[in-house]
Amino acid sequence: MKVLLVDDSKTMRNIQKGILTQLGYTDIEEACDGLDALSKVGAFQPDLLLVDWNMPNMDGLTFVKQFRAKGSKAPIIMVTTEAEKSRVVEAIKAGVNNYVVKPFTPDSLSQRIKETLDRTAAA
Amino acid sequence: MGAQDMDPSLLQDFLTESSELIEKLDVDLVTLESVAEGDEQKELLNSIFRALHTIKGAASFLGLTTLITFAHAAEDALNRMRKGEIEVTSEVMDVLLRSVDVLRSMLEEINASEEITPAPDDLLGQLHALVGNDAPAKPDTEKQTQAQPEVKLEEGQTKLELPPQKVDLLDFMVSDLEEVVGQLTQCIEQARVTATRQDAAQHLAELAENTYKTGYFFELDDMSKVAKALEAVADHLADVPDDVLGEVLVRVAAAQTLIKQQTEALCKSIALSWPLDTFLQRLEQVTTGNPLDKDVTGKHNNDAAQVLVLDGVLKAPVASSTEGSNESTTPADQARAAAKKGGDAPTARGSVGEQTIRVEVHRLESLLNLVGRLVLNKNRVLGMTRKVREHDLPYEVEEQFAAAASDLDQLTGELQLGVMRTRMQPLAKLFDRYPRVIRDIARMTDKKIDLEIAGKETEVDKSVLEVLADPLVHILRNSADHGVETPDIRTAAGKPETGTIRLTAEHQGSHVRVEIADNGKGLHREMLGKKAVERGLVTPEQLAMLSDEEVFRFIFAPGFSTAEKVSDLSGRGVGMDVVRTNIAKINGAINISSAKGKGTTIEILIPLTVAIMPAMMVGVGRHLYAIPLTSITEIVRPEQNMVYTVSGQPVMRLRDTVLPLLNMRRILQESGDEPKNKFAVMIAVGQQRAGLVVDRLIGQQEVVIKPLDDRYTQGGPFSGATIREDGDVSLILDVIQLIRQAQTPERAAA
Amino acid sequence: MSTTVDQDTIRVIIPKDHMTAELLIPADFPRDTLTEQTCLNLLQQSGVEITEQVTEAVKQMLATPPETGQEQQQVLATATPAQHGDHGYVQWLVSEPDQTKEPQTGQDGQKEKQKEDADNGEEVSHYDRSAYIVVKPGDVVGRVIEPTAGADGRDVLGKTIAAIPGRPIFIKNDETILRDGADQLIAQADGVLNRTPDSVAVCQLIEVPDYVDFSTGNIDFTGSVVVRKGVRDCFVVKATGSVEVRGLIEAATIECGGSLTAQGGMAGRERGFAKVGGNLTAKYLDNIQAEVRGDMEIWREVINCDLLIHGEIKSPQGTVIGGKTVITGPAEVAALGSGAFVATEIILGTVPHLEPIAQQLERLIEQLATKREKIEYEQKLMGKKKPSMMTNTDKERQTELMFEHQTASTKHNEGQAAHAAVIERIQQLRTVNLKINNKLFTGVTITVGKQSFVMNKDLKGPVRILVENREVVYCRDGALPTPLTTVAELKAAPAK
Repeated sequence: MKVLLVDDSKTMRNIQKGILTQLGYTDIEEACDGLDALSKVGAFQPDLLLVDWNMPNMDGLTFVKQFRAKGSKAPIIMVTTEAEKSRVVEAIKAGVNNYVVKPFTPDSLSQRIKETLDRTAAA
Repeated sequence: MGAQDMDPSLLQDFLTESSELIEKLDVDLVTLESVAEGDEQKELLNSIFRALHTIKGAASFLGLTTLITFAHAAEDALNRMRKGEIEVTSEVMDVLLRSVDVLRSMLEEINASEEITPAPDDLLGQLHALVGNDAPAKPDTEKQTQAQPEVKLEEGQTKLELPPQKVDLLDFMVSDLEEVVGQLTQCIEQARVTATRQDAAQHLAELAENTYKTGYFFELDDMSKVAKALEAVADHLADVPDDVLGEVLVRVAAAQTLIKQQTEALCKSIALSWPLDTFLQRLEQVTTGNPLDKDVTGKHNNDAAQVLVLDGVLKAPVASSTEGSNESTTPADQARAAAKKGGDAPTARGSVGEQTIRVEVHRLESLLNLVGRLVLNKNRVLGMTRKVREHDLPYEVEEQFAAAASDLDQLTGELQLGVMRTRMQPLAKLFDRYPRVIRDIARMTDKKIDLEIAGKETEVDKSVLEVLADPLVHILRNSADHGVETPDIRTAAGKPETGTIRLTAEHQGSHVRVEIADNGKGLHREMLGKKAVERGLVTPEQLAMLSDEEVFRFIFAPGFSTAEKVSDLSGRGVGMDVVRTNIAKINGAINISSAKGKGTTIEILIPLTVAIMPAMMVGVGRHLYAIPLTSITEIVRPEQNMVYTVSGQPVMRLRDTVLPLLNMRRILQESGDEPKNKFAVMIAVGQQRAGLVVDRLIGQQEVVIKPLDDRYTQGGPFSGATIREDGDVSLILDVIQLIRQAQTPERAAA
Repeated sequence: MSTTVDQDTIRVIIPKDHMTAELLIPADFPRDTLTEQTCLNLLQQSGVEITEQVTEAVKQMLATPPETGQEQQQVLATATPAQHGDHGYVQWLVSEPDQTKEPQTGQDGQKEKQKEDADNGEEVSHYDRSAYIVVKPGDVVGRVIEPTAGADGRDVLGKTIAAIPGRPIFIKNDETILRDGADQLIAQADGVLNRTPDSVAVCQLIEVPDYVDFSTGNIDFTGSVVVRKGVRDCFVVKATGSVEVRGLIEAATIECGGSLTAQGGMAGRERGFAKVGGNLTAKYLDNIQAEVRGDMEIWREVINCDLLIHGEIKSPQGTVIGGKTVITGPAEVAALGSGAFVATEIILGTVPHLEPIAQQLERLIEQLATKREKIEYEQKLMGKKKPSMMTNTDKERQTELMFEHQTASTKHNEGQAAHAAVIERIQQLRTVNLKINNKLFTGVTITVGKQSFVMNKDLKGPVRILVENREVVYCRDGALPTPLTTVAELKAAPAK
């Protein structure tokens, strides 16, 4: 299970990494913005992506669009803030599978990850 | 929880915010009366409702039950008004305005730390009357979001079980899907015209893709299937032969109907499923240009609903709309309300309450750090003034430079003081923990102990506070555990049964003095002495020469414990060692006095701040060292006839006293030319004094202390390092350690 | 001179060993008649092997005539002597022990630098010198150098001079030393290197024939040590195996992974230390500070010692007088204390190696709880910010706090589980069962848990001190247990 974390904040990535590790996922790659992530998905082939919305260079939404345009079906969980919530609709239309609002508890992120993977497995 | 035991800063914030909201409520309510029914009124009602709700929410966080109950009743009434169930009349407004008054007085009571007076019953009655007696008390809006409203499910309907974060979005999605449905109509029209068919195809593709992804996200599998089929239609639309085009488009319209149905059902969190096989298969067939049987095409009259019935998707003519969707009962609506609530918090801050702002500690730290660096640079500038004087510059230039430097000096000083003040915190932060500590020990040891605290408002630097925390606990534990006797012993000794420990703090010049005094059994000189000899800290001969205080001081030696047995409470003598090292770390001093049977008093003197301090720079050998100015009593030039040796220890007679002298060259292992005339810097820590013999005096300077790791000083007498005005590093001499070295005969150093 | 042609004529001179061939041309010899070929012929007739060098030398000789009236004598051929072979030997690759008894600088990496005496702090420690070469598996201790055959020589007449080949060395090695393909001798075991002229082995036992003193230096050995006599003041014997000392151990330090047998007793004068991984058996202990992981057996007495015994005391004949004895398991002694009321403290049923761990865990749990509280406090502060007022950083921080909170909670729970396990183990290990065969004297302090009993009466043995129904009692065979408080004063405040 390969997970790609896309977030410009190192802290957030570390937290996500910690939570993923607790869930038993250790094959983790990090990217600091959309561009970085795009350059990594080819070689890494993630099975799950956690994508922050607001990032320099290329934001999460743009990344998701481009990633999906490549035909990749890997589930994406969007990390947003309350303010961006109204725009989640856009993200959904771009092909996001789930989302989590900052601030989130470790449990809620774990829950989202499980949820998303269960759904992907069922589909 | 009463208002009294609450975090005062939280309470303060609550009061500030609530007062603002109450002001706004007043204004809004008055305006409400004057506006006509319509959007503006609705907007106002919403705003009033939200304000009240915010107060209630914050109050529930603080556990202000009385206030919550009342706010709740008022909120219910408002909620009904908001929904148009109650008309805005002046009677209603009277009740509401009075409610605001009651709320305001409640807030005032909280502010005055008084018990909250419950709302008058008649007002509550009026509010309840507004809501209607039969109306059950409505639960909080938040709770409702999670509550599953009872919806009767029909065939083909399943309860949509989504995680809450997805439910939150339903609202957005419904409006989005409604738009899709609308656009599909447009799309179908465009597709009928050959010229715009290409555009229609593209448009349809987008809509279908969006709908597919939405369906996938909300786990609406059948709608996704329909959307997928539409995608296929979009792919072929341009190539569809004219004879089947109508057939295709009626099915697109049918798909649109399905999406519309699902959209409506979505409001009620219902997922629809249909027997889609025939429909999809036929749709695919016509899309790829293969006409259907006349049997099928002839019957639907180009009616989408009819197509669906024929294809077995829907059973009977569909009741076009699921009526009676009460605005406030669908989750989507609540989500909508919740979403709006998030964005409307008032931003203006009134002048009510305490004038404070909260600043993160690290910002202060970095500010202090900057000031520290500023001080260093100021020192460099001051250093340059000295240099400037040495060069032949025009007098005016030199004067101007000196004046600017002196201004800088003064301003920096004030800035430094100001910043340091921001770091000051009352000792109460520590002292308030101790009654509990003492109580626990008293309970465990079956003693009766009173802890008297005075001066806890005394402010010290945050870092001092941190360093002081452990030592004070140790000393207090020690006093309680070893100092104060058990009630029977105390009674036998003719003392009151209850022992007293007094913890006092006060400012004394540039120091803070903390005193811990108990009226217990006091320290036992003979016992301590014996132990010290056993531990090899002192020889019996030396012991005889020591003053009481010097003997008592052994309790701070590492590993020295007078407790005959190891007790849970005061350990193996590590504790008091911690006291000594921690206090030394912040350039503090400890004094002990004790009278047998009467009690022990431990006095701790600590500088007000530990980050920046004035120091005297001295030269020893080839290096410069800093001596904290607060420890220096005077500086003399020892004359030959003043210096002599007592039992191998060089001493100096200064007026009426004889003080030990420390040859800093030897202690610091400095070499180089030895000047003829040296200086003796007299230092004092508490009662103890000594003279440090140094080669040169450089001058007074503010130094910024950089703590040193022990392993770099290799046990040398250093408490830290500082960067000098010329950019070089100097070590700061640890006065306490040096004094101790002067008191104990120099064995190792010799 | 072997070959003389004529007194006045040209001569070839070859010594008996055939190592050189010279040509002598008399002073009056008509040089113009002398050709190179004549000379060569002459040499050849004398048996000299004509080589290029010889021809060249002749040319050279003729080309440089001496001054008139001088005879010319020159070496025209030299033999190549035989190179005799070298004997095989072992090239030792270890640092040689100090044989000269001279102080040796502390640079020797194999020995620990240890300053025993502060007076010569900067100088060399005589205690540090070692007579032993300690090796560990994989150490290359030496290399066997094969003999060489040598190279034959060739005399001027062209005859071979035979070289004498070197003799190989025969060195025996057992399984503790591997001789690899490259003739390296590699230690296969921990121990001390034992060498004789024809054997090498790693010995896992050091047998000190005399005292451990300046002749041996301190011993730090991976294996066992037997000392036939005693251990002198201030020396240190460390061994991973057992240590057996037949004589007296003075104020020395003994550390061993296995058992320590001190047949001659230990007289520490307050500077004797022992750390024993196994059992400690001694004739007596006097002023010793010791920690014993196993059991302790004392034949005579323990005087003023500070002992920590993780196992049992099995000294039916031994007496403990003075000092402090901490013991985890049961104990049997002949007598405890003395008629002279010497303060003797015995602490029963503590588990010294686990109790600090339990305390440490308690501290850790407390710290984690504090950390959690801190986080909760910060969360509380954050929590009252309105969501709309929160910056992105706040949200991040909040997420971080939640994460930290969870992490701290998890660790906290783990800590509590570990703590419970340790406490359980402590309960399993601790035993209060002190048997005194002869007498328990007044003045002895017996500590059990938080209670200390100071004996104010002598108690005749055989008697046992036990805990029954949470009460410390003494009990004689066949008799009912009696509370210890009837013969002792309960000193500490009773624990809850």
